[in-house]
Amino acid sequence: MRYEFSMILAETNRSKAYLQNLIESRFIPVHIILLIDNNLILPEQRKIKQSTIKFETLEIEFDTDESLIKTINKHNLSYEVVNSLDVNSRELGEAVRRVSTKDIIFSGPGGGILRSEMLSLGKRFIHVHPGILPDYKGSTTIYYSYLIENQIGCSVIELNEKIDSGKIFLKKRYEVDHNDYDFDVVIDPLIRTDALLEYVKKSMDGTVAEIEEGENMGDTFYIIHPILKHLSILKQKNIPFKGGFDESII
Amino acid sequence: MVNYKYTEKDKLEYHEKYQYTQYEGVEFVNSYLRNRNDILAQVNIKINAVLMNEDRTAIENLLLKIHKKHKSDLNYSEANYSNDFYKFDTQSFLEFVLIKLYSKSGLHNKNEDVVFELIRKFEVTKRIYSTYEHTDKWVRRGSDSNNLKNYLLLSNIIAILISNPTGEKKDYIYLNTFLKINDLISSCIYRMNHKYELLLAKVAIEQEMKIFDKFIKLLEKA
Repeated sequence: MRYEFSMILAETNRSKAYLQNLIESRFIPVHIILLIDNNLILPEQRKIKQSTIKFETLEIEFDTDESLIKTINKHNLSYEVVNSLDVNSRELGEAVRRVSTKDIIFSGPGGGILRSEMLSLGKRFIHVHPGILPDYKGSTTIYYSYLIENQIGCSVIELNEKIDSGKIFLKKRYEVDHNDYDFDVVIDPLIRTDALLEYVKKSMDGTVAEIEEGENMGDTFYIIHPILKHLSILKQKNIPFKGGFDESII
Repeated sequence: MVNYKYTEKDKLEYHEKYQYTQYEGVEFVNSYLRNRNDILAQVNIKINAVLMNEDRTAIENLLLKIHKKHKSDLNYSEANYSNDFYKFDTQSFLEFVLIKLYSKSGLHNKNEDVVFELIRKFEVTKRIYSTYEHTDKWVRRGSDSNNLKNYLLLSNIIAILISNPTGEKKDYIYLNTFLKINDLISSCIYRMNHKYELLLAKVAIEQEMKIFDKFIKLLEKA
């Protein structure tokens, strides 16, 4: 049976990268639910130049200036709008119930966590976590893994009620060149898109399988402090930091 | 000049979520170090005023007084982690843990688990409450989260736990919380006038700077 999927998207660079590249690879979502709040600009919507990025064997691009609506209309895709960024809203729940596919690829606003009511609607919510699971659960893991291991990674998982503890279908690691690309708005969406494409391809081929469950293992990371974030970025940009504490103060 | 803004507002009143913080280059890290140097200078001035002729590094005397206070209190030993151990006063618990760590007499696993749970709670809520209760999980009781001593004690505990970092994941998890709690402490120096708080603040910030240096050296080797 042919693999089919729908999507939940918010207006973020990640969602744009997902949708544009899925279409480019001829993986067309059956239906898209767009989360929109016209009164709010998401922090992940920071504009950057159109980017064609190449690091290692990864070559993916996306146009940050093209809105999701524009992409959808350009390709005559089926979609509906939910006027809320709340990923647990009643309106979104009703939209999810109407979706015909079992799988829904989830790319909501950053930090949005699906609650049990949404997770028990009989759908499988597929999410790409920017960290190798179960080792790097939680938030801002792309920075931590680069700081600790000099590499970053993604895991494609099924969402469940515990954070980053669902079935794991795919893990991919990436070496990162020393460059000026922004972790949040460039590198993160690109590697997640790469992992997602591979997952969808394997699903189409019928070769995807659960690797492991990561429920009771691994460490949970919390939103990274700006100092640690800076140390990670400085390391990635190969900018040495020499500095220290004024011991005469003691 | 880049300004380190994470200690400007009283963090007991204004929550800091640290979401989507901007990259500002090396100068941002320098601004953080200047900030901590300034905070320490302020703490030292206040300590000098409060301690007068007493030893300015009187942390050991402080801990001895705390230890005497707790001599007849509930002993947070493993035997007490039973159905009866359902509620604790956070300050008492943290004082107990700090004394154990200073005396190098070791913490049993369940005490470490509770410390880690308090770290998790602080990371999620940016608050440490005065009382917690355990049923099938730890929940807070009451709404008082303004006892600065709890933040100071937890900071000092974390400082000991990562005093010799090896670069493992847990070191960075602790360091992350340590930086945030010390932002909060630094933003509340103006509230501190008692030597208990000032001494703990002094040790927390001093240790932060030394530990930060150690992490920088670890990263240089990596």
